[in-house]
Amino acid sequence: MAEPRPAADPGPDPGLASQRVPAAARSREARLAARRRLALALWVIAILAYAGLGVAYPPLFLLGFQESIIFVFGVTWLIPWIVRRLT
Amino acid sequence: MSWAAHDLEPYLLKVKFGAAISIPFCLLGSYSPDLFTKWAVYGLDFSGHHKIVSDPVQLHRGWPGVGFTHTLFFGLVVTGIIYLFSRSRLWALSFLIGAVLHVLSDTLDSVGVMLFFPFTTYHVHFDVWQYVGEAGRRRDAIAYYTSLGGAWDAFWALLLAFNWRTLTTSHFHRRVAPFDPFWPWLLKKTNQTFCLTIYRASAFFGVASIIGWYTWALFRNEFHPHLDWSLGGPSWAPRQGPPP
Repeated sequence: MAEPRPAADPGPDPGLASQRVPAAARSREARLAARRRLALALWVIAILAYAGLGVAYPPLFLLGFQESIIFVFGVTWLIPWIVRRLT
Repeated sequence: MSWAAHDLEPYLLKVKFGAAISIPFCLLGSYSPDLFTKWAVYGLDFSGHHKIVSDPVQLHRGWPGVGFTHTLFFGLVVTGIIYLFSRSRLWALSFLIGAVLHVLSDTLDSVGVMLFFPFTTYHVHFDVWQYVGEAGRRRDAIAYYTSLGGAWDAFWALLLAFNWRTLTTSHFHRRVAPFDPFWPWLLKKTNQTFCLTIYRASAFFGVASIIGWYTWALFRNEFHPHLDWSLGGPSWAPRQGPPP
């Protein structure tokens, strides 16, 4: 009588294996998403702050885009720095 | 005339046409019709009490005057000059598209533009809102942002808000800088922060100024601080331009 063939070794649970590697990727992805959200929120705050300055004194802030360049330069430099610090 | 719409339109074109648009040249085209004349239209101060010319409307949009800057002809001539010196179709075409968009936007007010100059000096105008430039910046801001002009600006700002990813650093590096030789050239002379500033400044200003002007016109200013979205409004503004 032929010996019964052992059941094929299923190996490690493919579900678990596939979950382990993406877990690291997922946490990295979550960190990146948090960074993107924070950066977006900071840009919205910057826009509202500039609009507020404009409301307070339109001739100095709202007449042409050249007036905003120094502000935008500062924000462009500052936001990535803040985001790196906070996340 | 349009206000912040001219700052925002090039970004939406970039979203639509991608690599076919150079943002710096499209913005230059979009600014070019007003670049040398708008300050003279408004006078030397914010209140509009220190006039420079007796007929700002004629200067800005008319002929004789420098109204030729608001024509398709002007856009084509400058486009030809840019192509002659740079041999870049991307830059020349981007300038042309920016300039044409500006001119078409300005047909929406009551003065309009000499669209087919030099063949005719007829002003194409759709009277959606009143041209109030002659009354100075202060009055013009109130008139524009309480009329359908402000709604036109807000429309472009909303479109850009839906496409905010076009302003991100990663988008700039993946989709903008590699397709326009202007950016590698500028990056060599400056740094990334400066390039991103030049890329974003007009969009930032456009959106912030719409919020700022709306708030100022409706809540801080005391001269007609209410919306008037009637066609050809605001109704308090004196009629300018050719007969409707």
